[in-house]
Amino acid sequence: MSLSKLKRIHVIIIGSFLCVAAGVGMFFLLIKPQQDAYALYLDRYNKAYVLGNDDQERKAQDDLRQAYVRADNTQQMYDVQMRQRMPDLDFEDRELGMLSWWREVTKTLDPLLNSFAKDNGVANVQVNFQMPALPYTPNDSLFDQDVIVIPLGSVSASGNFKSLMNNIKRWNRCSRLVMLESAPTLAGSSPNLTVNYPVRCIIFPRAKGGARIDMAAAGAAGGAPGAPGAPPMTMAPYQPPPGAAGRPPGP
Amino acid sequence: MIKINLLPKTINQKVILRNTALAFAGGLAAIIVGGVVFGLSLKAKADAELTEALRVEAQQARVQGLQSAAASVLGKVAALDAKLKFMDAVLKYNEEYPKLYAAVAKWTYKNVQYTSMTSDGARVTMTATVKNLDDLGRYMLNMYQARDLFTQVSIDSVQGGSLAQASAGGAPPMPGGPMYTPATPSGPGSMAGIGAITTGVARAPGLQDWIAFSVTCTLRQPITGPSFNGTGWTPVGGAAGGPGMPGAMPGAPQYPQGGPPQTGPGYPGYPQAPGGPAPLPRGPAG
Repeated sequence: MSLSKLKRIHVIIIGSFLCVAAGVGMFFLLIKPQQDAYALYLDRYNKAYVLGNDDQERKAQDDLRQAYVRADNTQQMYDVQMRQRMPDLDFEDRELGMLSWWREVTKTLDPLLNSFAKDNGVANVQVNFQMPALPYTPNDSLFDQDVIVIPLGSVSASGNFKSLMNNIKRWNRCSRLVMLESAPTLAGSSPNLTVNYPVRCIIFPRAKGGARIDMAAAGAAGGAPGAPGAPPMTMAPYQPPPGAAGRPPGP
Repeated sequence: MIKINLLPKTINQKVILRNTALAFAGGLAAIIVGGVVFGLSLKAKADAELTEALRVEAQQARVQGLQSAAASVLGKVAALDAKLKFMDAVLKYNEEYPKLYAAVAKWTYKNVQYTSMTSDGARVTMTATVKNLDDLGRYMLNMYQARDLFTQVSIDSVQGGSLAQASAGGAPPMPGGPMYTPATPSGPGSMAGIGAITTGVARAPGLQDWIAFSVTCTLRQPITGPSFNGTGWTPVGGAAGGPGMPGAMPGAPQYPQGGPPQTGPGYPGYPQAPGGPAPLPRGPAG
């Protein structure tokens, strides 16, 4: 088209259109994407700044140090308590764990508790502790528990008020964790009082039972009837041999 | 002088059109250049912000890593911590009842002889004997003063049959606690309830001069046994019920000849409430 045919108004219209189009195009192609990106980055910055600052980093480092200290303290206190009050029972290997449990119940726990119950500060101590039934299979659910609770039975003793209260509190010095099952009952007239209270023993194994043992395969291989000297394979409550050490005189 | 423009009109118009077009072209170029420059400046700003955001995000990741490390460290000993706390709670629990009984003994009037004491964690129940109603009244007044220990004190008959008892004023009931009904319209602390006690006590069998009664005190802070979060453990103690008083009294109580011991109440070894008209021990104000 020849320029001679265009009038000024045409040039103005076309020029204005081109300018507006260029402006709009520049805004949407260049400016707005950058503005959006900037807003996005600013938002990311603001969100990250809540934790991503020097104060928070120092605090997190302090927290981590404190966590290590606390974990170390907890581990130490736990180890102390475990050494003082718990047997070394590891059921990860179920067979060895079962043997350990047998030894613990028959050779340690029963004589230990009966012996500890004999308090020279009180008179007529009578205990009726009942040891738990020994499991006869390493797959027993006993080995899958975090905590083993043994209701032992009751303790009764005679004496004056203070000595009886000391007798109750004395269980905190036992080398196994023993807990009162319910409130002690006091009877009689001072200084000839009688206290009676049930107790239970609580045991935390160091490790729960591991993979269960294929008992069918073991049976096919000959089925060991039990280790020599081991307690009988029965679920009956364990009965200590007559005259076992530590058993206080009966009523 | 006359100026005569001999050029054709179209020549002048073309110049105007050219100039106008050039002006718009200049404007267009300015818009494009301006847009590009502004866009580039925005891009630089956004890039700088991106750099900062990446830096802060990296720091945030470090902090989160530290936090998760701390949580992991604590998580590894959480099970041990739970066991440790439980063991500590057990040791503390084992001393709760001796402390409670000792506290009860402290508030016991010296002329009262306990014959049994037991608790279910929420209440303490005692059977006792006194020689006369005066001693019983003083004893009850003492117990009512133990407001730091009990929320309610009631006296029950030892003898069978109806145990609906007289309760004298004293410790007010706790909100939400058991209903407390004073024996008389008088307010808490009134001694008018002592008269009502006579209906609730019984003479000890075989001992005409002694009055046997039982007292039940509701604990302000019930004693509950600790529980462990692991498996295989059932919480014990608490209000679930203690052993009651089976065998608490094998036969009739052996009362000393000539009355109760003059040296003190049933459970010596702890400070006792003074006897006679001397000032009684005071519980906390309230």
